[in-house]
Amino acid sequence: MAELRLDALHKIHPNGVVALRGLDLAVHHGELVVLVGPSGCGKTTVLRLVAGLEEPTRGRVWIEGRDVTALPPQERDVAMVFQSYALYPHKSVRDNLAFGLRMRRLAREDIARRVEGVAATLGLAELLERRPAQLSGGQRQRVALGRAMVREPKAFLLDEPLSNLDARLRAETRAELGRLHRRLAATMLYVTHDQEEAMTLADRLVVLRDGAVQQVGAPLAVHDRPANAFVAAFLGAPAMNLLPGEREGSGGLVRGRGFRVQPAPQQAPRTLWVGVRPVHVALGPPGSGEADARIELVEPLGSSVLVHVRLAGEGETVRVLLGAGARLPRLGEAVGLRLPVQCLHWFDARDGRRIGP
Amino acid sequence: MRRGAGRAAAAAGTALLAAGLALPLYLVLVASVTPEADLFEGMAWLPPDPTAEHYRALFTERDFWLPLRNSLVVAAATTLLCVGLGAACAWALARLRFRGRGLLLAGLLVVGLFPQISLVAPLYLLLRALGWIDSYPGLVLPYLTFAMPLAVWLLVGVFRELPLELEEAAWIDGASRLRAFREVVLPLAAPALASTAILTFLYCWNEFLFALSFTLGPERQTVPVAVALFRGEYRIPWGQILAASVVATAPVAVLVLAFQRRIVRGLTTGAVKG
Repeated sequence: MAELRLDALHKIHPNGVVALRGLDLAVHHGELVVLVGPSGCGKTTVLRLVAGLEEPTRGRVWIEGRDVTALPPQERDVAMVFQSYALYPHKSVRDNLAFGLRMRRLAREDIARRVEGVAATLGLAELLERRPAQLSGGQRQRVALGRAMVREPKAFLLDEPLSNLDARLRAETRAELGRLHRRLAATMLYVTHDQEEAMTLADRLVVLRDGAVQQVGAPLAVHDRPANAFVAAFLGAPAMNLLPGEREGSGGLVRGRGFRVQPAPQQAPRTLWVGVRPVHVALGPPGSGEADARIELVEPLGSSVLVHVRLAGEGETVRVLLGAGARLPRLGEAVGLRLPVQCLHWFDARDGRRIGP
Repeated sequence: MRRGAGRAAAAAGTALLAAGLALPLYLVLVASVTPEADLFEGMAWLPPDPTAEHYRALFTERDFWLPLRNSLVVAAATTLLCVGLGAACAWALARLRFRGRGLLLAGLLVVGLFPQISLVAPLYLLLRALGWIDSYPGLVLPYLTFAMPLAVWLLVGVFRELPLELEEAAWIDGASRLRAFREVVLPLAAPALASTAILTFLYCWNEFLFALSFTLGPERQTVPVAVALFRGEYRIPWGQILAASVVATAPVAVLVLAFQRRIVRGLTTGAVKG
C-alpha cells in the first residue's frame, strides 16, 4: 500500500472539453478517499489519469513518492474496479482472478494460493469454474473486486463499483466494502455520484464540480459546514433548502418571499441564500415562526415523513422532514415554519460561497 | 390461422429457393457418375448405370492431386496471412488514433472495388519483376490484395464492438498491449476470425482469373484452372470435368457446414450485445 498524490492535474480532451482544472489531492496510506460529484464533473477522469489510461494535459501523478506520470498502466501497479466490471467474458472466474498474477509471472502455486484465498474471503470459492455470464450481478461485482484484491496493488481505484447493483444488494455490498477496506488497510480512491455511498464509506470526501474541487474534508464536516451552495445542495438527503433573500437595514434582518430570519452574519452581502436542512425545519401553527406556508405534498417514507410546503406569497417550495411520531399535516393546511437560526447556513448569492462560520 | 399460413408460405418459398440452388449441384453429382456415352442422352434424375470411371480417370489418367495440392497450399497460405495481418491492421485501425486513419479505411475499400481484370496486367508486370510468375507467392500476393481489404473491414467492425474497458482492464492487470490483444481481443473475436478465414479460403479456392494469368503450366495450376484446361485427345472430357467439380466442391462444402454456426455468429457479431 502506498500514498497517492495528484499535483495540479489538468485534463483537456482532444475535442476541447475541459475535464479537470488543476486538481490537487493526496490519498494517504490506507485511506479511503471518495470523489463525489454529478455526472460529467471529471471524477472518472481522475481515476483514468491515476491508472495511466489517459495522460494529463498538465500536472503530475505520484505513487509511493515516485513520479509515474509518464508510465503506462502496466507499470503503475494499481488496480481498478470498473463500473461495468470489465470481467474477461471468455475466462473462468479463476482465470479472471489469476490473470494479473500470471502477467506478473508469479509461480503457479503462489497464484493458486492467492486466488483461493481471495475467493474464500469474497465467498467465490464455489464459483471459480464459472464464466462471468453465469454469475449474478452481485457475484460479478465480487469477482471484479477480487481481481483487484488478489494483486495486492499499491492502490485501488474504484469507479462507481456499486452502481449496477439493485438497492438492497448495494447497501449490503457497501457495508462489506467498508469492512474490507479497514481489514486490508488499503489505499483507495473511490468515485461515485451517490452521496450516501460517499458519506458512509469515505475517510475523506472530495466534492468535484466541472473539474474543480469544491470542498475536501471528513464526510460529516463537509455535510455540516458546506463550503458553498453547490456542496450544500449536493450532499445530504433530502437536499438542503436554499432560499434567496436580501438584507434589510443594519440589524442583520434577512427577508425573502414568505420568510424573514435574523441575524445574518456581520460580513454578509446584500443578496444571499439562506440554507436550512429539511430535518431542522419545524412545523407550527400559522404565524408562529419565521415563515408562513401552505402544505403542498405529504410523502410518508416509513420512518419519517417528507412534507413539501409552499411559502406564502408564491414563494419557494421548502422540504420539511418530520419524525415518525409527528402529526401528519393535511394538504392545503396553513402552517408556520420554525427556522432555528443556529441551524441556518448563509451563502453569498453572487458566487455561492459560504458566509460566516 | 393467418400467421400459420404466412409461415407455411415462407417455408415453401425457402424450400423452393433451396431446391433451385441445389438442383444444378445435384445434376452435376448425377452426371459425374454417368458413363461418358450416356451423358448426352438427356437429363436423368438418377444415374441409370452408375460408374466411378470418371473419378478413377481423374487420379490415374491425369494427376488431379497436383492442382488440389496447389489450391490447398495457396488458399491456406493466403488465409493464414490474411487473417493474421488483417487482425493486426484492423486492431490498429479500430483502436489507435493516427493521422489519415479515415483515409486509409476508405482507401482499403476502394482497392476492393477495382475490377479484377483491370489489375491483371499491372500485377503481371510486378510479379515478373519479382520473379514470382508461376510460383505460390505469385498467387498468394495478388489474392491478399483482394482478400485483405474485406478482412480488415470486417474485423475493424468487430474490434470496435468489443468494449475498450476489457483491454484497459488487462493493461492495468499488467498485460502489454500485444499480450492483451492475444489474451483478450483475439479469443473474443474468434467467431469473426473464423468467418473471415472461411470467406478468404473460399475466395482463393474458387479464384480463376489470377490463377490462369499468373501460372504457366500444370506445376502450379490450381483446381479451377486445371479443370478449365482439361483436354482429351479428340473431345472435351465432360465426365472428368464434372467429377473434378465434385471433388473440388466437397472439401469446401464440408468446411462451411462444419463452421456454419460460427459464420452466422461471426457475421452478426455486435448486432446484439451480450
